Amino acid sequence: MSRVVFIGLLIYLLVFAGLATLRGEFLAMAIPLFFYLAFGLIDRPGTMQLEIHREIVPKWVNSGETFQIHLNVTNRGQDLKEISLQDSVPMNLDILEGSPSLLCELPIQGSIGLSYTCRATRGLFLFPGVRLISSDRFGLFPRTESYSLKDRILVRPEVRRLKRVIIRPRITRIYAGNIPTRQSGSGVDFYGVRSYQSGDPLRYLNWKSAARHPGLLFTTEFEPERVAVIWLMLDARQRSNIQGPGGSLFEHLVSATAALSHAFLNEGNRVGMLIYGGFLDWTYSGYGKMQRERILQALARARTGESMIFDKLEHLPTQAFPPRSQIVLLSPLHHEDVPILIRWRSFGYDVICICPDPIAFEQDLFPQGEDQELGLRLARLERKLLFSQLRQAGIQLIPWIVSIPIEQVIGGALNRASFRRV
Amino acid sequence: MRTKIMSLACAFLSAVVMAWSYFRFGYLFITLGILIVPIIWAVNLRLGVQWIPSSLLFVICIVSSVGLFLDMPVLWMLLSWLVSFIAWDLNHFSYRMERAQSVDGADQIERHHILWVLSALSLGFLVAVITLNIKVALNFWVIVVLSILLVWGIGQGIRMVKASRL
Repeated sequence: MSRVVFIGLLIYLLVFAGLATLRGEFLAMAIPLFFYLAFGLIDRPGTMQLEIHREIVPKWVNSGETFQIHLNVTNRGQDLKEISLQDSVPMNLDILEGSPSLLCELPIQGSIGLSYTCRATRGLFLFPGVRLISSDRFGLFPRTESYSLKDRILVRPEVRRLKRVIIRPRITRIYAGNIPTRQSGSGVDFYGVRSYQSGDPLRYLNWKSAARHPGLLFTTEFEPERVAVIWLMLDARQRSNIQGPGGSLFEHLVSATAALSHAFLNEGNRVGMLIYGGFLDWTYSGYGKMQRERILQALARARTGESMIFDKLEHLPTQAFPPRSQIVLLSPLHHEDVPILIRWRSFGYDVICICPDPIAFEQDLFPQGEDQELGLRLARLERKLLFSQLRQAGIQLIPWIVSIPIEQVIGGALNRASFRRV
Repeated sequence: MRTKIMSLACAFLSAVVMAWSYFRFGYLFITLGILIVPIIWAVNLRLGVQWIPSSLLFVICIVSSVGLFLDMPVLWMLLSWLVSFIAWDLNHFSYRMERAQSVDGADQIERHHILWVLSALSLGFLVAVITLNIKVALNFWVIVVLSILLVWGIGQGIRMVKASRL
């Protein structure tokens, strides 16, 4: 019950008691309550005229880092006897120090500051506005107003440093890099030996072969190293995500994507990214630190979503990727994805799949027992079959149990695979 | 914390004044019942249940009305009633201060609040005492008209408050 109504009720009761008993004492008891209400009415706030500024320092941070929010309010209207400022803090933001709300008096032209320190994991956090509750000194007539004061902070995902990631795409670009081109040319790595042709530089003559075949001359060929175009594809479909005891599977994928993009860009490659889930979020391919920043910002915004169209990989416009380029798909994979990946392979794309293991991630959620054991075995067999189909198509698979750090998994698996192919 | 202590002190003072009046008139059971009020008040200061102070204020209102009906001293009843009302107001004020996660100039807000509530209720008490000492003979119909006017006035006041909120 509102306090005004309660006081009103008491006044009514006393007045009626006075009238019923014809005794003025009851009415006298009601008089101080009238005065109390009257003083509250005199004091009640009018329209608030405030200038509010919010500053977030810094504007973007990495996951787990702290940032500060400063709110400054200046009163340009009438005297505010009691005002409560409440900054609307987005969910999943941990407040470490200070408070987003403040109760104070705000005289005319007076100003007040409010500061608090927050921390968050990956995401884009929007601050919608500030809620103000002004009231008289008795708190009888509160007036609530909401000021729209939109701000945002981008919390980038954690980037794990990977050692050199070795990939062997079929097509490379013309700029020098670290990826062997599978063609002879100017370079330092040995590629092969062929018969000498006039015009070949004499310093490339292979004397050992010439000694074995008298009368013939041979030239040593080298393999140039170039940069490549790499497309990272992050599976953000709702059904690919699992919430487990160790957080969300999608968060692990985001972290892996960030680590890979960082590693590829560091080696001078041209890297693009596509997040597909509720919609397609393209980060067009590019080089360098700016591109790294773009990818991290896109990853910070990434959320899982559902879409009738992008529920299956077949609706992805693969023609957007350069022909025979390197695609790195980060997804736990579904059975329906297999034919699509095989088709991509047939188009000439080099596909690497980094597949976090949803079974291992999820198994702790269920009670132990025979049924669970059987279910696990069946699920693993099914997954094994899926992997064998993909391997037969020449798709490089990197199974990943997310409890193992990504740098350990990727480093080992890709290096081994590359050596095998060489 | 200070307002909480003041609130408890006011509740205690109010109960003592009222209990003393009832005791003098020989109502021992009611006296004991009244003395329970500050105990409940003290317990509730720790619990923070919002409806308990209002209920206790309502009980005190009823008890002081009964006291007036039983011809107990008007000033004692009025004083007890006012002090319990101050206790109720301070209790709500301390709740508001606690609910706010941080307060800027808490002492100043507290001081202004206490001054304002004391001004309002002292003035009310003064006017009440004056009205008790001025006797005007009114016939029944004048009282009826005045009461209707009073009810209408309060209704208008509430309507005005609602309009100002919108």
